Amino acid sequence: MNRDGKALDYWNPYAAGVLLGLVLFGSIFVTGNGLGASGGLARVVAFGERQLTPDRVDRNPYLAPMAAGGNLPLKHRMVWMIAGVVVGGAVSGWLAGRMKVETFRGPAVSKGVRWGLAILGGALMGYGAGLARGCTSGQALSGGAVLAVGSWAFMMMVFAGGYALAYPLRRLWN
Amino acid sequence: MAPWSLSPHVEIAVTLLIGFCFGFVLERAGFGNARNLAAQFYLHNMRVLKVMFTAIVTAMLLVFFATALGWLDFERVAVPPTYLGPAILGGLLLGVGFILGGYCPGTSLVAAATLKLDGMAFVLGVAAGLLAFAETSPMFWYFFNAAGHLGRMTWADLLGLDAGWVVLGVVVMAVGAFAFAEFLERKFARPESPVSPAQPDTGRRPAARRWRRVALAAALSVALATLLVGQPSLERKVAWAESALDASLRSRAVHIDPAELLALMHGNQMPLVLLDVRPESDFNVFHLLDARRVDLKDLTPRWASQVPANAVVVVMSNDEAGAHEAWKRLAVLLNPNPYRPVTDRSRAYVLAGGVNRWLDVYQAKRGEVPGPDVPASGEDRLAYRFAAALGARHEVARPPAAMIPARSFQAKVKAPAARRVVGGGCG
Repeated sequence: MNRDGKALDYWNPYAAGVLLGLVLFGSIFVTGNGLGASGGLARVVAFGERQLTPDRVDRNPYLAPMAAGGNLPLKHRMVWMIAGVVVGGAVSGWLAGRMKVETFRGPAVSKGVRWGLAILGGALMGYGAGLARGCTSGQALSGGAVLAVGSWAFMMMVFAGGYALAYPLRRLWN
Repeated sequence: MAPWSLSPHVEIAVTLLIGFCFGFVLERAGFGNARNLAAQFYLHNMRVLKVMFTAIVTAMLLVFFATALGWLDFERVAVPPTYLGPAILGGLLLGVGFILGGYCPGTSLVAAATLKLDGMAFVLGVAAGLLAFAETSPMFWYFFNAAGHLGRMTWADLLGLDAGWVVLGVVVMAVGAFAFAEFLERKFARPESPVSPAQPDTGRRPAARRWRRVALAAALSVALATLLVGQPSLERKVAWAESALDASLRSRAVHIDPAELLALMHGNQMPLVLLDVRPESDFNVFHLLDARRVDLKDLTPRWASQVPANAVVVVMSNDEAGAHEAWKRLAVLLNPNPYRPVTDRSRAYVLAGGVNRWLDVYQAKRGEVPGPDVPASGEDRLAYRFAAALGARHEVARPPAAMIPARSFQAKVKAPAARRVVGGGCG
């Protein structure tokens, strides 16, 4: 927070990009793996479902490798990664004076609608991330940096999907 | 040579630290705010494209520069396998979810961590979506695992170019994309835009301009240097590892006795790949049953990817010289970490004494044939004459199992350990 008690500015996007690239390179260089978010969340989901209905997890081909039998879904690097993301985001937001309860929304949208749309959008994204084996972090960013063909196709489709609906949905954000 | 094999505790600490930096940078980049993210699709604030593309270019330049110089082993870097069908469909779903929800999974975690209620709702949504995917994916499991499946495939592999060309192309493309983004931002600028006024997006100060020029020059020089050095060929990788590989050969730890090979041929306990690197004429005269004749140039990464992960590879020449050359390539191709002494890691072995010693034992039935620790002295020529070119239709191409106990040997071949499967970022 600066002296006037206002939140700090966001970084210059190119500078932030260079730093994000350095973090990504560090991850690849030291561990051989890139960054990711949805993989860790998938494991948390697998953990939750295992607590409720272990039989279903054992029979599910997507969840079984993560959580069936003796597999420990939370003992995985992707889970450590999202734990780090949450802490890092919180520390940065706190230092920058952005740590406050609020809802980001377009001017024409009520809070309730915004939350509902966030859940809906999140669900579509969760489904898509499962299907594409990764989200914007694991596929677009990490796969893009190592020039994976599928990751670039994925990234183009994310932008295509967003731009295709941007105009019809302009009232949501403007 | 990176990436390193970290012990579990160190890996947890390192991953937590990487995640911390990732979350910190995402928050500072403005990605904890859905309005910044959604603005990308209304063209007045191209922050998402700038940050993401800059990050990709930065990491890409460093990764391929490091692999060209031999600091990083690209074979052990996780490349998300390509499944075009699911990637395209999933990407579209993500795009739609992005414009509806305003976040992606990683940024929603950051938003939730800074107490944004929409971010928390989004995280719940992602969890629900993943659960729905888990429950419904068995219905289209074949599509999920086979549609457009190209495996580990980079643009350099697909185009058959050195990765340096692709790197240079991406840098040029990024510069064009950034220029276009700046143009769109000016064209679609709006007063209430959440871009803060101190940023060079709006006020183009000379300092920012100078920095851009420096960054562009740096990116282009790294890309050109990467292209000039080139990604390491197999020959260069073998040369880097030459001393360790020679030491392994001198220690005779990778040489197996003919009797051990015969036991392996009869054992059926692990897949066995027999490679014969002799000239075609010798091969036609006599070779072991199921041996495949290969030239050195046939031993490529593409070939290695066809070898079953649990297979043991035994290479032979008439004596040993040719087999040694081939073994060095095999050790680099098949070894998860060829830059350490290979003795107990490799799954490639040399038939001690080559085909000549095999024939000494099983054809001439000499009693005093030396064991695998004694190097072969010959000049890699076939020492036996055959009345006809029988190939493998010769009785000693695969002597009966009863011959195994006739010669005592110390077993050296170990069942190959399963290679650690490196998972991708997500999924």
